[in-house]
Order: sequence, then C-alpha cells, then structure tokens
Amino acid sequence: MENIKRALAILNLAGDLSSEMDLYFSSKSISVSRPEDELKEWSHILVRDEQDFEALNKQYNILSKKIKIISLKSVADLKGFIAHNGQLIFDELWFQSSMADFILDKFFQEFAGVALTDNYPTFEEKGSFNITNPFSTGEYLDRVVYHAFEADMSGLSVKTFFDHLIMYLAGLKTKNKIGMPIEVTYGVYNEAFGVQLHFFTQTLQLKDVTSSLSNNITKVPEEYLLNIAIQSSDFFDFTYLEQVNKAVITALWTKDKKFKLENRGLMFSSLSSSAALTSLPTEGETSFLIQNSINQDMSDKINLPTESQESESDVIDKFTASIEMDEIQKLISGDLEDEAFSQMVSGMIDSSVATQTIAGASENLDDVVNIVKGKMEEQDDFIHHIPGEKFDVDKFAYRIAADASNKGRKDDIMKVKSLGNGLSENLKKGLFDFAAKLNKSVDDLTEKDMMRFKDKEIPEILKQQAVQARRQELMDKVKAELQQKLKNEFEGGTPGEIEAIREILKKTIKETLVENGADSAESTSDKPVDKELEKKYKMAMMEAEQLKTKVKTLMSEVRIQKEAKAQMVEAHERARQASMSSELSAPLEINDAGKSQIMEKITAKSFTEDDVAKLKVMMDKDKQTMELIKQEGIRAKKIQLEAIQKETFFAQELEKNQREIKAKDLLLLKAKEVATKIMEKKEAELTDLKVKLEQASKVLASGNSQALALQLRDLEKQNMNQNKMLEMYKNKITSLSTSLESNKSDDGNFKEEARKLQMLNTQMKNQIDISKRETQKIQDRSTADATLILSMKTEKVKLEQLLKKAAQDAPKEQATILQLETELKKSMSQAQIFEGQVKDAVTRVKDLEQKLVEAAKHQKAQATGDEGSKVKVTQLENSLKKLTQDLLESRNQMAEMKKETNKLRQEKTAMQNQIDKYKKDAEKTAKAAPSTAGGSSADAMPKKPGGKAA
Amino acid sequence: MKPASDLILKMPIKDFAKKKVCDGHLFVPGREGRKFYVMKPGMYLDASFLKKHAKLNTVFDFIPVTDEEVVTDFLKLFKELKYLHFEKDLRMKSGEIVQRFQEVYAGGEHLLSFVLACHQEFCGVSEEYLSKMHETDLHLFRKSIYAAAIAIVIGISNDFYHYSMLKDFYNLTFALDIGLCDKDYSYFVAQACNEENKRPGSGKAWLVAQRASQSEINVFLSHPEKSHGFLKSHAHLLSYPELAEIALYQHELSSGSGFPRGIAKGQISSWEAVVMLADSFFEILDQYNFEENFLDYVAQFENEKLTSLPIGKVYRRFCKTLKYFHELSGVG
Repeated sequence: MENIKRALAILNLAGDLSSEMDLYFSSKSISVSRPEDELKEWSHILVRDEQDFEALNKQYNILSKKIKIISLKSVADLKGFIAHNGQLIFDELWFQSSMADFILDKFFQEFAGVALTDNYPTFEEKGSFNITNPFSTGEYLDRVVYHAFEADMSGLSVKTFFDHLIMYLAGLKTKNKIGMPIEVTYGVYNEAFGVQLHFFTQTLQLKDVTSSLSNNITKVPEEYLLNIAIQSSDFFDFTYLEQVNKAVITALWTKDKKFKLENRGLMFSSLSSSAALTSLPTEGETSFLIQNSINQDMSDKINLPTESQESESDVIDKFTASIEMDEIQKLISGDLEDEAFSQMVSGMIDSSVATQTIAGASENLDDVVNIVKGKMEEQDDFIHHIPGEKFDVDKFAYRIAADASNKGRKDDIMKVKSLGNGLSENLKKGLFDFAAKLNKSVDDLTEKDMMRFKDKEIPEILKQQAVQARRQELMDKVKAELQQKLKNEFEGGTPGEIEAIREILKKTIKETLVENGADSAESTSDKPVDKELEKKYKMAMMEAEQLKTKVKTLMSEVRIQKEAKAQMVEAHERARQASMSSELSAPLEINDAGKSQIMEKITAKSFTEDDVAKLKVMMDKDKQTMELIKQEGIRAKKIQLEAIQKETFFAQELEKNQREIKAKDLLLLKAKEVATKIMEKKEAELTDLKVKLEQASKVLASGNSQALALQLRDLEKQNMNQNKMLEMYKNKITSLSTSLESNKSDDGNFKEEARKLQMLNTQMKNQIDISKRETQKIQDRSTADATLILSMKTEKVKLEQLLKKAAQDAPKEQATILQLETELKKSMSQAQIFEGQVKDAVTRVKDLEQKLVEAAKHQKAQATGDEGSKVKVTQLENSLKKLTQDLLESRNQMAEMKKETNKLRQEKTAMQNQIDKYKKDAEKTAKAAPSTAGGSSADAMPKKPGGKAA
Repeated sequence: MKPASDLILKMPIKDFAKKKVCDGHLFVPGREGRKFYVMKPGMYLDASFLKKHAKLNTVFDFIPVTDEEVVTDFLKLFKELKYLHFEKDLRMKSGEIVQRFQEVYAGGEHLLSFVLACHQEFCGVSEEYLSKMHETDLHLFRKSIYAAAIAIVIGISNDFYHYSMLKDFYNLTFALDIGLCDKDYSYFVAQACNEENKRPGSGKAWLVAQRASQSEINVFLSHPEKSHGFLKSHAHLLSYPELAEIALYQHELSSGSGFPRGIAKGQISSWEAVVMLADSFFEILDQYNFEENFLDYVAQFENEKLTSLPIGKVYRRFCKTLKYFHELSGVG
C-alpha cells in the first residue's frame, strides 16, 4: 500500500497546497511541479476553482495525453469536468478525517474490487445482499439504513442515495447498459460508513453517466437521479473494471459535521487491471436467509432541524475552545442593543423556523397528558398557585388533581395529569405571562382571553423567537469565520499568540455584524416598515392558524385541569371533614385549618416568621411528594418496558419452540410412515410364510412319505453338491479378489505402462509417416526409372533399325552387332527384372502401410478401453510386441529396398553408359558404312578419273 | 459396487422410455443368472441405448436409489417458488427448499432425488448437447447434473432467491464443461480436469508432465471459452444473458494466475463464486462416495481449494445456512 505503482508527475495549477497534501505527495514520492518548471509530461493536473475545462484541455492536451484532472474544490460543471477526464474531486478538508489517505491511495495506486472490503480494505463488512428486481429492495434498504443509524450515521442520506442510485441503475438496465444482479455490500470503518454496489456492464458510455447529472430538479427525474445520489453522499466513487466488465459504485459517509455539501468528494476511474489488497475479516457472511428481519422503529433518529440543533454543538476547534462563549456574547451585546439587533434582522424572519419550532407540539392530547400514580393521602400537599409570582412550568406540569374516573374503583390511587413537553416553552411562558398581565390564573382564562392571546400575543412571541434564532445563527457564523481566520493565521496556537487571536476575534465579530447589519439595512430600506410589519403579521397569522389546534389542545387541557381541580377540592373537603376530629401530632405540622389561616394571611399579606416556617415545611413536603411521584412514574415506565421486552422475548421463544415442535412433528410423521411401511412389509412376509407353511403341512399331511423321503434324499444330495460348488466358487472368488487386489496395487504400474505404450504408439505413428514419405520417394524414383526404361526401349528400337541397316550395309560388322544385340537383350532382361523388383517393393510398402494402419487402429481401440483392466494391458503389450516386430520387419524391408534401389540405380547408370557407348559405336559404324559400302556409287567416280574399273 | 438397497426390480425397457436420467443401478441379466452392470445412477439414458434394448426387448434388473416422494416434494416447492414475486415470500419459500434439503439429506437419502427434481425443473439444454456430453464421457453428464443441482442450494444460501436466477445458475453450472465436448477429448483431459479440481492451477502442468498432446492441452485450456461461446449462442437458456460470462471464470484463482483471463483478486462476484463452488464439489469420476452422505462431505470440504479459489465467502455462507437449518430442524 505504501508503494505507488508507477512514477506519477502532477502539475499543480491549484496554487498553495495544504501541508497535509504536501506531506502525502512527498511520502509517496510523487513529484509535484508548477507550470514554469521544465517538466512537460504530467500524469495528473491539480486545479482549484477551475470551471473552464475546455480551455484547460486546449492548453495541456488533456484528452490526447490522457492526463487526469484532480480538483481540490467542488465543481459546478460536473458534466464538463467528467467529460474532460476529471477523475477526482477532493477537498483538503478530507485530511481531517481518517479516509483521506485511503481515498488518495486508491486513486493513485488504482486498486479496486467488487466487495467493499476489496475496494476499501479497512472497512469491516456489515452485510451484503443481491438485487434482482430494482423495485423490490425495501427490506434490504431498511437493513442498510438501520446499520447506518446504528453507526450514528445519517441513515436518511443513505436511503436517499440508495433509492436514487437504484432507480438510475434501473434506467440503465432498461437501456440494456447493465446486467442484473446487483450485489450490494455495506460496512463501517472508524467514523465512516460505506455502501458499495457492483454489476455487469459492457456498453456503458460517458454520456450515460453525464446525462443524469443535471443540477436542476425537473419533471423528469431520470435527468437528475445520479446527481441526487452523488449529492447525498460525502464521497462518491465510480470505478469501471475493464478486465471483468463490471462497474463498482461506492458511497461514503462520515460522522464528522465539518463536511458540508461543498466539501463533497467524487472519484471517476476506469481501471484496466487493478491491484487488490488484503482485506479485514468480515462480519457480513451470514446469509440473509437466516437473519431475523429488523422491525425496529428508528424514528427517533430523524430530527427535523430546529434552532437548538444549530447552537453550541457546532464547529469549535482548539482555538475557539479557549474563548468563552460569554465573551462573544458580551462583545455582541456591547456593540449592538437588543432592539437594534432585532431591527437588523427583522426582514429575515424565516417562517419555516417558526413552523418547525411549533411543529414539535403536534401530539394528541393523550400524548400531552402524562399519567403518574399517587396516593390519596398525599393530597394534603396540594400546591397552591400564588398569583403574581413567576409560574414554574415544571411544577405546573405536575400539578396534582384527583382523577374522577379512578375515584370509585381505587380510592387510594389517583391519576395525575399535566401539560406535555411537546408544546413550545416560549408559548407556555407567554400564556402564563398573558394570564398574569390580566391578573388571572391560567385556569381562569376565558375563551375571549384565549382569542386575544392568539391574535396578539402569539405573533409577538414568534417574532421574538425568530430574532433569537437569527442571533444564534449569526453567532455560529461568527464562530465559523473566526475559526477559518485563525486557522489561516496561526498554525501552532501557542499561548503567546492568544492576544493576537483575541484581536482577530473582535475584528471578525465586528466585521460580520456590520456586514449583516448593512445587508439588512439594504433590505429594509427597499420596503416600508409598515409593509414589513404587515408581512410579518401575515406570517405570524399563518403560524397562528397552524397553532389553532394547539391552542384548542391547551384549552381542553385547561378544562381538564379545572375539572380535576374541582374534584381535588371536593376530595380535599371530604378528607378534611373526615379528619376534623383528629388532633395535630406536632407543633409544626399544618392541618387544613392552619392552611386556611396561612391562605388568609397570604391574601392579607401579613406574614409572621412562623407562617414562613410553616410555608417552608409545606413546600418541602410538596417537593418530596413530587419527587416520589416522579420516581414512581419512572419505575412504572421501567416495568412497562421490561414487560414489553419480556413479551417479545417470550413471543420469539414461543415461535422458536413452535418451529422445533413442527420439525419434530414432521420427523415423527415420517418415522411413523416408515414404521408403517416396514410393518406392512413384514406382515406381507409373514403372511407369505404362513401360506408356505400351510402348504407344506398340507403336503405332509397328504401322506406319500416314501416318495417324499426319496425326494428329500435327492434334495440333500443336490444340496451337498451345491454346497461343494459353493465352496469351490468361494475359493475362486477369494483367489479372484486377491488377484484383483494385487491388480489394484499394480494399477499405478499399469497406468505407467499404458502411458509408455501410448508414447510408443505415437513414435510408431511418426515412423509410419517417415516410411510413407520414403515410399513416396521410391515410387517417384521408380516412375522416373520406368520412363527412362521406356525411352531406352525406343532408343533400342532405333538402334536395332540402325543395326539392321548397318548389317545390310556392312556384313563385316555383323559379329560386333551380334555382340551388341546380345548385350542389349541382356540389358532388356535386366531392365525387366528391375521393373519387377520395383513393383515388388511398391507392393511390399503398401502391405506394410496396411499393417501399420491396422496396428494403429488396434492400438487406438485399446487406448480407449479401460486402463484399469489387466487383460487389456496384456493385450496391449502383445499388440505392441507385434507392432514392434512388424516395425522391425518393415525397417529391414526398407533397408533391403534401399539397397536394391541403389543397386538398380548403379545398374541403370551402367546400362546408360553402355547404351551411350553403343550409340556412339553405332554412329561410328553408321558413318563408316557409306565410305565402304557406298564406294560403288557414282560419287566415287570423279575421284579416280583415270582409274581402272573394278 | 455397492447396491443402494436390496430391492431388485424387473424393469422392462418400455418403462425407461420416458426417463432421461438413470435413477438407479441398472443390470442386464445374462446366462446362468449372471448380471452385467450397465448403468450407474445419474447417467444419461441416450436414445441409441434405449433403441438398442427396445429391439431386444430387454428386461433389466433395476435397483432404485431415488425416492419418488422426495422428487415430487422438491418439484412442488420449485413450482411454488416460480410464481412468487415479493422478496419476503421468495426468501421464505427458498428457506423451505433448503430446510427440506437439509432434512432429507441428514437422513442419508441418495442425493439423486434432489438432482432429478432440479433437472426436471430447470434444465434447458437440448437433447443434442446432453447426448453429446454423454458420448464424450460417460461421467461428464453425471458430474454436470450433480454440480448444477447443488448450485441451486448454494445460490439460495447466498441470497439468490428468484426462480429465474436459480434456473440460470442451474444451466450455467450444467454447461460449464460443455466446452470439453471435442474430438480431441481423452482420458488425459478428464484427469487434468480432476487434477485441476483437486489442486487448482495444476491441470496444465499435469498434462505437460504426462506428455499429453498439444491438442489435448488445447481442449483443456480452451474449454471455458468454448462453454462461454455455447452459452452466448444459446441465450434462451438464461434469463440474464450477461451471466454467460460466468463460464469464463470457472478456472480463475484467487492469486490471479488462473485461466483463461487471469483475473486479479477481488473481482469475482458472489454469483460467479456460486457456480465455481458448485463445480468444484464434483470430479469426472466413475463413483462418488458422498452420494449418500452429502452433508458430511460438504462439512469436510475445507481444503486447499478454499484458499486457492475465490469462493471462501460463498462456501461459508452455504455451510452456515445448512447448519442453521440443521439446528432448526433438530435432525441428527
């Protein structure tokens, strides 16, 4: 993993790189150069904020030189980026996660695999499944999302990614661009969660990818499916494995909230042959078939954004951590008054914030009302609301009232109802304040009052809430900017630099606030204040409409409380009457009379120290009661939960046992069936035997014992003979088996021999081929010889004619001619013999060929037989011997033939020489003959004019 | 040869007319009460054999090894699976199949019952090629029919529940060795395949050591491509035609040194591994010792194949699933 496969050269057009990036390149020995450097051959180009990829292509011939582009910032024109060989978008912020080195290693070293653990080797696989029908993935997806939530990841992002990607792949399948099935693996590594899909694809083109990358949400989802999938993940990796025609898509998510949309990573790569790394052991090897389905409700993991979510938990690093939040707040409050601040953001109330804030209180009345159990004797500790004091919401929430419904059944137990936690605290507080304003308790508010509260107070509360939200947002913004600036300015953060940091902090906060103030001033200057207010009012009204139901809930709650209070008072009265006779047990213990006295004093506002002490005691006792009630409530809930868990456990156990019982039943059934079958069989056998027995007894009973005795003797004899035979056969079988065993032991040798025989067979085949070629040569030569003989014959005929002439013309030469004739006859006979020999040789060769072919057939037939059989091996050996003999014979014959051929050649040349000689002699004689025999002709006459006549 | 049971039936040739696969041990009665063993369970009953004995009107001695009830049970389950659509239903029905398989084979039933049911349900290869395989090697058809059936159970264990996908697995595994049907096929090629099966990556070296002819080596080395060609040209056999690629992966190794492509590690998908594992269970042999205790054989399968072939994960899932259903059914 540490070694880069080939030397990489990167052209840096991105300016200054982060120290981590520099460190990575230097650790991997990757050379990074600038445009002004001499090196002109680059494998990669680093860019940042580059959008004109066509120009970049023209300048550096990116496409022709196959240079890969790496962008260190997100790219707006994703289509253009990918079309110009853009393969990696990697924000340097990734160095703050554990994934950075993996991603860069994977990209530069080009390793990949179809399983998540092959692609990202440090990942621990949590599970996998196969998709055959893209429209039947719900259960699998639920499981992935469950695992994502379990790993504290955003399961919703995983769900969005998966849904869109699967639909994109379904679209590709329709176009016959990809094949099914799709294998999905998912797993975790440290703070990252990964999902990987892979599938067959042979014809996938770049345009198939870019066509679904539209940024705009249109009516045609196919245009932006892939884009949504990419946007839903923190890192998106698309790799094409050329060797196996498979595409691998990986999406990674990280827990780190530093990663925003703009830091999203992307990788597109096409690998011809990829390296693979050793992966970690996996967990996800259990088949889906034997896993229990997950039916757990994970709704609590889905939290709609609220103002509180965006507060303190956000980005605070080592620099900002040293600065107190109070300091920032002081700075803000020192620069701007609350009212001014409120004006500054007045035009920016986000209606959605308000809506979402109140949406939390949408529970039913049943959910709002919490029921706890208490005892009747505790009703003495009833809390009295003191008008004019600040109302304690929590105390109000648990104000006790006896439940009339339970009164009859269990006198000592009563239900306690309270306001729910879901309703906004601001609204509750506002309602109580409103009641206080009217010098009334909440219980005493009329319908009219409530309408007024709805129309006037709620919009005001909402406005204040929005202002607070905006203030928080601004504070967060200040913090984020501050963090960025500090990061840029200081690396170490030593204590000596704290002053400088504080200066920057102040400056940044002022700048940000002024900037936002200016913005808002601009926005408010465009519109009249009345209109703005009207708009706000309308928005508030809308919200108020939505809140109508909540108010109704509140009203009904108040009504319930009123009723409860009346019941309580009634109960109280009865209890007081019952305890009228009892005396006070302790001096500080307060009875109802004392209470009423204290109440009177409260109304008269004339307190003594004793009264205060009594009140304290009362309050303490109330508190204790409250605590007890709370604990009881928690205990009840715990018991309830335990009961539910036990119930589910028992249900599972029951199901398991039922399955086991079913399986055992099946087994029993089968066993019964088998047993009945066996019984039936046995019964049938028994009946047969009975019948036979009966027949035999009948025969015995019928008499004729002598004949039977004879038959018996015969049978005994036969039996003896049979036994003997049997023994004999047994012996034979044992001897055969021993021989078979020995054969088996020799099996390996036979195989070896068979192998040798096979080799010899091939050698023989080769020799046959050679002999065939030689025979062909001999045949050619013999035909040449035959033509020669023919020509010689014709010459002989000519010579005979010449000789005849010569004989006629020159009788003196007769003796020599006769000699020549005899020699010619000799040569003729020799030629005939030669011809015969050639013919014999040809026939012999043919016979030999035939034999060889037969032998080869025989050999082949034997080779295809059972090698294990010894008989066949011996047959093979015999045939081999025969073949070798034949071969030797044929070789000898060939040698003889060769000799004969040589001899014949020699004779032929001798003959040729003789014939030539005879020819010459014949010519000589032919020339000599006219000078002697033709001398009597008229030609001679002029030579001897004065000569005598003969 | 050990007969499966003592029950010997007299079976006239006409009773074999509808059968395509021999479902027992088949003997021809000879003179003096002698019997000649002519066919093993799982062999192909080719037309020429049936024709010849139809002329002779032969009455065979037959020892059945399959249970008609088991065959019918599996066929019923396959039929039910065929018409299901929802993943949960498919998974449940597939689970039933594996459970039934587990129950039946824990009891020592002959593997052929399940094999016959699978062949009857899923096989799409034409008679022409079946007889071609039989003609090439008597045991080639037998090996393929066993491997293809086991591919179904391995497929289900690895979360492939769809009927069409299982059918593809069957036909793919069945046709893996169809590329061996060549005029130059010989005993040495079969042995090389078995060597490759025992010690992955050793087939060619074995052939070279045995001084096999070049044509024999070629038959061995090119059979994945030939099988792939066959599957490409018979696209109707597969519901997902792109799966024909699997034929090319049958002799690939984890080290990337397999043939014909030498695919690097980590690029073999689970669907390819399913077929590879099913194929690696069986050799081209005269007799299988595990026919009657297949589950034990599966459990003891862990050998060097698992490290050499990229099938580890699929194998472990297969074993876990069988074990799970074993424990669930409480058998043994």
